[in-house]
Amino acid sequence: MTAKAFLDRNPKATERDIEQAMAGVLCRCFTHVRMLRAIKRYAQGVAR
Amino acid sequence: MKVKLSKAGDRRSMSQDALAALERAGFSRRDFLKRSGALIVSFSVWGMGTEPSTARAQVFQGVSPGAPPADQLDSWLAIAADGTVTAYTGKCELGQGMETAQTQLVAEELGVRFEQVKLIYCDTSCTPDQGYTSGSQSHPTNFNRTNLAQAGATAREALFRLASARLGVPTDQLGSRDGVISVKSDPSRKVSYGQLVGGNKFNLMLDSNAKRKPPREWAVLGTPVRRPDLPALVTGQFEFVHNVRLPGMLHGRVVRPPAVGARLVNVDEGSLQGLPGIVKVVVKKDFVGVVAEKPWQAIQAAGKLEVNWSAGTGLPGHAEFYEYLRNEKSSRDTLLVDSQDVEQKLSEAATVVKATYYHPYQMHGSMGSSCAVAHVEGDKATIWSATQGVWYIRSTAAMVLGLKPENLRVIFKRGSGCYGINGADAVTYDAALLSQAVGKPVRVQLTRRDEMAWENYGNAFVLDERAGLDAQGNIIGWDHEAWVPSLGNRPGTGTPGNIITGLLVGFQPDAFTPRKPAAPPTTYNNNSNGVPSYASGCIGGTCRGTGIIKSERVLVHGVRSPFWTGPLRSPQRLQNTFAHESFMDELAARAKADPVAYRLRHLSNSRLSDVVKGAAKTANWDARPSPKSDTRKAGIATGRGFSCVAYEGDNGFSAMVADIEVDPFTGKVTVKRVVVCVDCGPISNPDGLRNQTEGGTLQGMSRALMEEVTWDQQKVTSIDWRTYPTLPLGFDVPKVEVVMINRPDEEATGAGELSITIVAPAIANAIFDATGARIRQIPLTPERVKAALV
Repeated sequence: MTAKAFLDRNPKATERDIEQAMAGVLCRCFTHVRMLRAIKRYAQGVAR
Repeated sequence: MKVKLSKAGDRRSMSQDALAALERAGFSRRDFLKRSGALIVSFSVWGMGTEPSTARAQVFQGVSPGAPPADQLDSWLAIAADGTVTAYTGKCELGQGMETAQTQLVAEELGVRFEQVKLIYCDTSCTPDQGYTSGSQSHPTNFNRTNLAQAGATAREALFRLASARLGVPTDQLGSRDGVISVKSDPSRKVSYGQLVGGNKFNLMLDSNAKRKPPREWAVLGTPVRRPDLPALVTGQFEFVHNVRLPGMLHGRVVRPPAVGARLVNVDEGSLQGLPGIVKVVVKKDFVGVVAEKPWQAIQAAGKLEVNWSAGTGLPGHAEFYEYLRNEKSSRDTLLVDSQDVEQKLSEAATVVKATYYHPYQMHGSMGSSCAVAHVEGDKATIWSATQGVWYIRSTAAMVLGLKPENLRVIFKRGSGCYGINGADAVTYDAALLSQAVGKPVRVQLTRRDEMAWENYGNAFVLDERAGLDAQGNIIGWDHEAWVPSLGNRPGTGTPGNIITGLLVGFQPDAFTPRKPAAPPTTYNNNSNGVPSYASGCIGGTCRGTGIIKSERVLVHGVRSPFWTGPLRSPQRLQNTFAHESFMDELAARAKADPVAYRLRHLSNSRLSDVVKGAAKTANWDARPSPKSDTRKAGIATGRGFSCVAYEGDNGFSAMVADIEVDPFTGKVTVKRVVVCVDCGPISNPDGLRNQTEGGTLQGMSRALMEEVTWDQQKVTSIDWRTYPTLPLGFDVPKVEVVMINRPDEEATGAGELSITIVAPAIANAIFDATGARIRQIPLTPERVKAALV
């Protein structure tokens, strides 16, 4: 939800921007790698 | 907030399941959240609504009284008239992917499509007792020559025999596809599994000679089948134990003691006067809880209830705790190996190297605090729990409630990722006690504080390492001595006092029985990874270790812990491996040898050597001694570190390269890239293995860099995510590359703990490589790193 709200407001966000936006989100399933990949894929779609 | 699919291509690339989940969600999470508040558990309490027509009324005699017998095929598999296969297993889906892998296994062995198999797991009304779903044991238990795998093979052979009789053709002239057996030379002559056994029992014993499908012929196993649970999870529709709702259900909260060892003096029920919705204040010995009509009312009541407690028993100082452990006079000593010549070898050595390593208590720290729902009706109870062992909860919750175990049904429902014994078992007892007190269904969810302050932590450790090197730098003797505190554990079949709620209602934890001196070892067991990988593990002339060092001693002092302890992902193995793999790096540096080459020259096990070479090759390992010659010249320092392990001695193999940066001004360590090579035998699901390996790497980083349980004189002070930090999503996520070695001819081993076990030493070794500073205490915080650089 954080990623969606952020990207809708900032469709041209860089990787660094996304990481900063997600800095307050905690995850103990440790799928950080896959989640960030999915968020970036979504971001590329939004930017297009 | 609508979930918008960004382009048509995304939709096309989604699986049907994912699409269906999005459709059901109405693209709106808020709507879903509104609706989910009213989710009702619709299946009947006694008896499975999802069973096929096969009658399962027979009285089972298994491990636990009443458990389906493991030697009977009907305990594992049932085929309905429509050909649907229902498989029953005692290994649960905890988020690790076991539902998918086990469904693949059954589909593979039976020769049916993945979608034709419905897996029922961890419900004492119908699934076999396979102990806990834990300890990297699900693959070894169910994927080799016994249990679920053997049931599949037995069933396939039985189906072929039945088809042979029905079609009048020998079995070797028959083939099967998607649950239909046909004559190879005339495929129009065929019969389906449903026609052969539909609705009836097999009435067969598991056949240990039934042929498993060789991994080289796998069509379903070995492929990256997508997890059927994920679409519901990522769209917020998944029903966790937290979402279980029963008609007339009430809400409970517990009031835990304010300090370790505090006892209940009295409860003033009058303090709740005027609060709405209060149903009952429940007190049983030191256990205190409240039941209310609504969750918020229960929360308010638990906060307002005036409870008087005695003072706590006091805690050893956090800063001096490692010295406290080492000086504990009363200990239970164990020798894992002892060649009895270590002191002599060390006295002959050209160089003796010594180091001591420290590992803190760490917690499971579930993101969603633990929850359970119980309905105790007179002498019967039904319990929904995220426990890793439904049969053990059945027997121990029965003790807590004073009921007969056969009158309890325990149904597993997923909770937050547990990684071992988090608060799931304790909250299950909580819900059962509160439900019994009010005679109605009760849901209890722990507060963040109660979850974190009272769970069974991963053990703290003090580890002394000593080794002797000859003039060429070869290791000629290795001595390891460790101090590890413990208290309680999983409840098992009969020890509810091993967790907090059990103790509060009057049960005792496993007794602590000191033992000095340790008895000489009689059989080799490296389950805890106490023996370094480079030792030969020789006992009574038989050597089962993975290395070549003959002179070896491993002595462990078990001491009493002031805090609850229990298995946390890679229990003790991670702590021991941090010491061994850090120390191996120190020895390589002393011998001025490349850390990878130095490891290889002390290993005898080819599978371990192969993962070492695999990780080094993929990472383009820069072969040279550590540290770098140009350390600490200016600005950000970079380095690479290595580590490896034969998990539990033989339950999987892994090796890791970590590339890191160290900021000498702040002490901040940034992991840039991790290459991890794993070998767990034949790979059931490459994507599942990759996910376990990536997840283990990230959790390993969190534990290595940030996590430590803290306390004051009376109580645990790690009670939220500020006081027990974890890796946030937005940190610099390293590039994680997973190299998988598939071993189709070997037995399946565990995989879930292969990467996490070796992360901390890989990072610590990389810090040494980058800066020349050796840090021997976890977590590797910026303050600790900065202090080491001064």
